[in-house]
Amino acid sequence: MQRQKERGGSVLEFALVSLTLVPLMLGTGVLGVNMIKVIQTEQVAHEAGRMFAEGLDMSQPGNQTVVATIGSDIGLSTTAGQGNAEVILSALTYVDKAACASAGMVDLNGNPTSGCTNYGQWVFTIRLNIGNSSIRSSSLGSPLVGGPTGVTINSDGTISLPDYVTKSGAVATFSSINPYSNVGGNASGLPSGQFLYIAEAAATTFTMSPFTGTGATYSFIIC
Amino acid sequence: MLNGSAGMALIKVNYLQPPDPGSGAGVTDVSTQSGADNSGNIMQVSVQNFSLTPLIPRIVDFNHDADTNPLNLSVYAAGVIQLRQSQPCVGTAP
Repeated sequence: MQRQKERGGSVLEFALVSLTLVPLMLGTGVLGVNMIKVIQTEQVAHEAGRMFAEGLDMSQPGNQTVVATIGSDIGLSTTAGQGNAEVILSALTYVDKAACASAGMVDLNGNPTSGCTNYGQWVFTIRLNIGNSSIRSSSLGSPLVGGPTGVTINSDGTISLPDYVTKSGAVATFSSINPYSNVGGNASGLPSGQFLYIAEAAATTFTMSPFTGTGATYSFIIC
Repeated sequence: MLNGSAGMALIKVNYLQPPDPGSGAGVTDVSTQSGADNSGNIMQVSVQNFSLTPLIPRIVDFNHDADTNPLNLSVYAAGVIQLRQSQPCVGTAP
């Protein structure tokens, strides 16, 4: 009689402990799967960014397929709006005197005129999306398309020189590098006219009840 | 994990030629052609169909038997070949 009572007590204890242990075990699994996804997202951003910076035309479906193959494990698709991942490719440049001069917007002394409205700003020169763009927006913002201040993004993702020099819709949310800052007596940043190639990758996270959420893994690379 | 000839056979190196600008075409696998390692082509390295035996059987639900089948994994990496003096080699691995 005494042993039967003890056995019942053990079942009750196990049930109580399980309330904590089972979710803990499931949570460990979810965390592990998502850690793998983070690594895969980093890998996709790294590979896509390198190829983009090396001059591969990422607007071509064939080249996008190569990226999608690398990102197949996180659900990257070449079909717009499909899949569980996305890659955002951006090229930025700093609008300096040389850029204003290229657009014919300098005075006789070579100084930018008032028409070179994006002087001193980082602007988009290329923007391309691969995969499901609804997963995450770019940390750099997006070029504003249409309207008097908006730019035109060509089918190959490029934005024309007059647009990115004069239209405020081309300005990126980016200030991490100043080509003309002076750090310890040395010029910091890029030489005039250089481009920054940035690849951002994001994928939906793995969720399991009760560990639900709508987060996304995210990684970026600047080349 | 990829020891021996069986493991080595899973490692694939493919050379892909990007489409002409504006063509909208796919990449062309030129691995068997001369000049496959020309600059501008894409070198894709992959491990395909690596069979990973699970440490323990996977129990998805109580209506099915435990799953002991190995997982088939494939991983890919790719990069554009740059213009340089020593191009990547093409052919059978030594």
